[in-house]
Amino acid sequence: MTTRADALPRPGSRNLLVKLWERRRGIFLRVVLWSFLALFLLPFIWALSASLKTRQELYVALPSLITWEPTLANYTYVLRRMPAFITQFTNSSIVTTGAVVLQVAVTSLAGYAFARLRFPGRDLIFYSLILLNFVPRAGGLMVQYELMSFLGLRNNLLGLILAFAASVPIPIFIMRQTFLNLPSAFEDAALIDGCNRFQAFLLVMLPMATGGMLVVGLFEFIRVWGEYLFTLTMIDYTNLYTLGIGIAMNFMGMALEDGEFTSYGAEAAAHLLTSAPVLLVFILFQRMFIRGMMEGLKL
Amino acid sequence: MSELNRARLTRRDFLRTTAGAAGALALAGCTVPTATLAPAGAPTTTDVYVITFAAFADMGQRDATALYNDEIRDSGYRYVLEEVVEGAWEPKAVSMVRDGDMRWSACGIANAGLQWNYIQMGLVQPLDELLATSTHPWVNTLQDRYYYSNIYDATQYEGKTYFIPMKLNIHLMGYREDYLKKAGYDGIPETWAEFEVMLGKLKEALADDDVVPFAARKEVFRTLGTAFTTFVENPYDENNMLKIDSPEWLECIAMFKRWFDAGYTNLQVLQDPVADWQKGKVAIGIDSHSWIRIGRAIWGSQNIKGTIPPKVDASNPDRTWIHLDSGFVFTGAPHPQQGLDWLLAVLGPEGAPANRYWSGTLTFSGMPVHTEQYERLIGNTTTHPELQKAYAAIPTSVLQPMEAGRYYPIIQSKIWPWLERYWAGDVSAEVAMQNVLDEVNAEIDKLIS
Amino acid sequence: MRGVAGNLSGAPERTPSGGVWQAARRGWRSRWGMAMLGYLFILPAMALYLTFSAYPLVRGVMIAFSDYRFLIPNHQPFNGINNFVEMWNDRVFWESFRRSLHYTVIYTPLNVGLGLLIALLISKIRHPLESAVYRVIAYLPVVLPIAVALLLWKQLLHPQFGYINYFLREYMGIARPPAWLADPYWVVPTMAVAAVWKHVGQNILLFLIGLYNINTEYYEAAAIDGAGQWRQFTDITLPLLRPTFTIVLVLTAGVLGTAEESLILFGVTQAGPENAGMLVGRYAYEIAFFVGERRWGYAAAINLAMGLVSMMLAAIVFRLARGERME
Repeated sequence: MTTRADALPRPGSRNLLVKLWERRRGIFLRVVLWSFLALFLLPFIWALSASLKTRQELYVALPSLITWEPTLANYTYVLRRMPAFITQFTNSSIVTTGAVVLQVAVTSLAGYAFARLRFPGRDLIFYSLILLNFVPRAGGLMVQYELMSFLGLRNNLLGLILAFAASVPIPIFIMRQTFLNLPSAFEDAALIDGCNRFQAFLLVMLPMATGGMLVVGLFEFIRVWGEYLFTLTMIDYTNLYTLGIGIAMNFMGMALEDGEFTSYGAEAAAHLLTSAPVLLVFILFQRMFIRGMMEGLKL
Repeated sequence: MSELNRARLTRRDFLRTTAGAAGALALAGCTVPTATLAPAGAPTTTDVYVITFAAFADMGQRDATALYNDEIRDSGYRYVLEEVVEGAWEPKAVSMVRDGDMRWSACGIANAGLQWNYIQMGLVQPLDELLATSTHPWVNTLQDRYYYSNIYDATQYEGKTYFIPMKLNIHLMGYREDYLKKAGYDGIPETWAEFEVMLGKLKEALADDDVVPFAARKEVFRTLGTAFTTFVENPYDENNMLKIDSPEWLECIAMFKRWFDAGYTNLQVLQDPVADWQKGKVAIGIDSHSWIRIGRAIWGSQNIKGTIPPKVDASNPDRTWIHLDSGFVFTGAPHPQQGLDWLLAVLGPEGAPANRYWSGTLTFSGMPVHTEQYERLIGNTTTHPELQKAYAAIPTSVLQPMEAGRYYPIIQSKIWPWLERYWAGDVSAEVAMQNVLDEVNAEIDKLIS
Repeated sequence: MRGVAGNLSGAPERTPSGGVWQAARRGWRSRWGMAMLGYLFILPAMALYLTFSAYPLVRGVMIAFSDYRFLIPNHQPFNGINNFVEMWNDRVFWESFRRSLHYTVIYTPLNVGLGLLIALLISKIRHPLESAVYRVIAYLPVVLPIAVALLLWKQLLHPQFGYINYFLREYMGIARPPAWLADPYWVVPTMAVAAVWKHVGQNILLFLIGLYNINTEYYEAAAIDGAGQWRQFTDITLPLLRPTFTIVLVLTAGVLGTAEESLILFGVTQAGPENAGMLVGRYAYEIAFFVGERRWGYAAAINLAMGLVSMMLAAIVFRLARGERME
C-alpha cells in the first residue's frame, strides 16, 4: 500500500514560488505543533525544575521554569529520609513484575489455544470474552472487595497480582492475533519431529511470539505501575502501599496540617522518581506501543 | 494403567501445586519478614501496630517510638508506627472494627473536630480500665500534670476518659513588627477599637508596598472564632454549637465588615492568607502558632512577633481560641494495654520519648499540655514570649468541646457563602445568619434521619 | 521478556516423556484430545478471568437490586427497584450527575477533537524521526501514573504558587486569574482539561494509525480533480477514519463513572471546595466505602445506571458523528 510518507514531493516538479510556500507552511505547521507539545511537556519541565530548587526559591521567589542553582537535596530527601518511598517502590516492583509475568504467561497459553487449537465453544468463549469487556461493571470494587476478603487476598500483594493479571481479554486478543500471524510450517515440522504440542508451543511458537508478549507486557506494566483506585480499596496497611497510591498520600499529611509548608520540591522529586520506570520503559520500547495499538485497532 | 489415567491430576495434586505456586510467590516478597529481624535466640517479639500522620511522625512520634522501643527492648513487644493519611484510614478502621479484625492498637492523632465523630463511629474505646491496670510510672498522676484542669476535662466524654492529649492549639495574632513600626506602633493594642485605628494607619503606611493590613483564614471555627472568643465568655451554646446567632457574633462579623469596607482586609487574602504572609504581603494575621513559625522561617524572629488577640474591653480577662488534639486506643485493638502505654510514653509528661516528641511540637504544630513540658520548652525560655502569654489565657478561655465536632464541617460549609454576601453588602447580618442556621439545622436533621 | 522465554524453554527437558502431553499428542487427531488440550491451555487465563472479572460482573448486578449494607452483618435483602427509585429522588445524586455531564461535555469533544487535530498535524510531518519524537511526546502523559499526572497539574494550578497563574499574571496581564481547583466554578472544567491532557495521547496515536493507513492515491486523485485541502479532509480523511472514531468513542465512554480523579486531587475527606468535585463516580464510591453503613446496594445501583447512561451517550454521539459524515 502506498502511504503518504512515500509520496514525497518530487524535486523540480514545482516552481520556486510553490516551494517557498511549502517551506513556510512547514514552519507554520511546526510552530502550531510545538505550541501544543509545549503543553504536553509543561508539567514535566515544571516537575524537573521544582525538584531541583530549594524551598526558598520555590516560595519566596516568583515561580520560574529555570533554576540557576540546582540542588539534588530534594532527591536525597526522598530517597534517604522517606523510608515509605523505598518500601512503596519495592511493593510496586513486586506487584508489577508479578502481574506482568503472570499475565503474559496465561494469555500466551490462551492466545495460542484460541489461534491454533480446535475445541468446542472456542470462538464463542473468545468473542464473549471480548464483548463482556464492554459491559459496565455495577458491583465493581464492592464485589471485588467481598471476593478478595473471602479469598484472604485483601492487604496482600499476591491479591493485587492476581487481580491485575486477570484483565485478560485484550491481551488474549493480541496474543491470538500474534499466533495467527505466525506461519504454521514451523510448528507442523516440530510436531512431525516428535515434539508434543506443549513442546511445540514452548520451543517453537513462543520464541517467535515475543513481539506480542512484549506488547502485552508493556501495556500491563504501565497500567499496573500507576494503578490507583483498586489498590486504594484493597490495601489498608501503609507498608503494603504501592507507589500509585503512596505518591498521592505521602505528602498529604504535610499539606493538611495547619497550613505548614508543603514541600513542593520533594514532592516533584518523588513524582519524577515514581514515573521514571514507566517513562524509561516507554521511551525504550515506544515502537511497540504503536504496534500494540494497531493490534488493538483490529478489534 | 492407561497413560490417560496417569495423566489426570488428582484434586489433591492440584491443590498442592497451586498452593505451592502461591506459596512461592508469597515467599518471593509478599510477606513482610518481621520475625527475621529479631536476634537469633531471643524470644519472639510481638509487633504492636500504631498509626499517625506523616506530619506528626516527622514532628517526633517516629523518633519517640524508636526511643520507646529501645526502652522496652526486653518486654517482648515492639511498636511499628504506620504513617497514614487523615480521612483515608477512618473507613478502613471502621471495616476492621466490623470484621473484628482490628490491626492497629492506638492512633497518635485525633483532631479536636473529629473526636466526637470517632466516638460515634465506634472507633474509640474508653481508657479507664486500661489506665487502672497500666503500670506506667505517671499513669496515676496524669490528671495533676496537665497545665490546667480544663485540658483534662477535654479528654472526657459522658464521664469516661477517651483520649490522651497529643497537642494543644492556642490561636494567636502573628504580626510583622517591622511593618507596625512603619505605622508608629511597637505592638498590638489592647482593645479592638484601638486595633481598628491601627489598621487604618497600617494601610496608609504600607499602601506603596501593596501590603494588606489584616488576614484571617477562611476557617470559621478557628480563625474567625478566635476573634469571637474575645467577645463572649463562652462561644458555644448548650448543644455545643458555635453561637452564630448571638448579638456578640453579629458584632464580631460587623467588625470584619467594617474592615472589608475600609480595605483593611479582603476576600482574596482570606482564601489563602499563608501564601501572602510568606510573600510579606500581609501585616497581621489570626491563626495557629504555625502562622508565626512560618513567618519566622522566612522573615526572621526579629521581624515576626505574636500575642493574644485584643479584647472588646480592656478590663475583660484574656481569652483566645484553644482546641486539643489527642491520641486514642482503637475499639477491639489487638494489644490495648500496649497501645495505651505507647500513648503514655510518647505523649507523657516526662521521659526520653516524650521529651523528643514535645520538642517537635514547637517546631511544627501545636504546644505541650503538661506543666513539665511547658516549663522545659516555653516557661523557662525566652524563645517564645507569645506562648507564655497564650498559656496565661488558658484558665479564662473555653476549650473547644468535643461535641462541637458534630457541627464543625456543616457550619464551615454553610456559613461562608452567607458571610461573603453579608460582607459584600447584599444581605443583613441577621438574615444571613438565620439562613445559615436554617441550612445547618436541615443538614443535622438529615443526619439524624 | 526474552529472559522469561529463555527460562521456560529450558523446562521441557525435565518434562517426562509420556504423561499428559504425550497423551494429548496421541489424541491429536481425535477431537477429544485436542479439546482437552485447548481447555487446558485456556484454563489459567479463564480461571483468573472468571474469578476476578466475570463473577463480579454478575454479582454486581444482583447487588444493585438489594439493600446491601456492608457494615451490618448479613444484611443484603432483595429490594427490587427501590434503589433506583431512591436515586430518582436523591438531590445529591442529581447534583453530582449534573457535574458529571458537565465534565463529559467538556472532556469528550476536547479529547476527540484535539486528538484528531494533533494527529493531523503530526501526520503532515514527513521526516520519520521527527514525527516519532512528536508521537513520543504526545503519548508521554498516557504512561504516567494517574496520581502523578494529576498532582503535577495541581501544583501547576495552585492559585498563588502555580506556574500557570504566574504566567497569566506576568505575561498575559490578567491581574486576578481564576483559582482553578480552589474555585467551585472552575473545578469541573479544570478536572476535565487535566484528564484530557492525561488521555489525549491515546487518541492521537489511534488517529495517527488511522491516518497512516489511508492510501495516498485517494488524495492524489482528489488533487487532480481540483479538490482543496478542506474538501480532501471532509471527503476522504473523515469518512476513512470512521473505524478509528468508533474505537475512540468506545474508549471515551465511561468517564461519567470516574472516582479516582476527584479522590487524587482533593483527597478522601472532601470533594473539593463546596463539593464541586463530587462527580457521580465519587459519589457512588463514597457511599460504598466512606459513608455511614456503607450502602453497597445503592452504590451498585448508581454504578449500573451510570454504566448504562454512558453506553447510551456513546451510542448517541457515535450516531451523530456518523450522520454528519454521511452528508
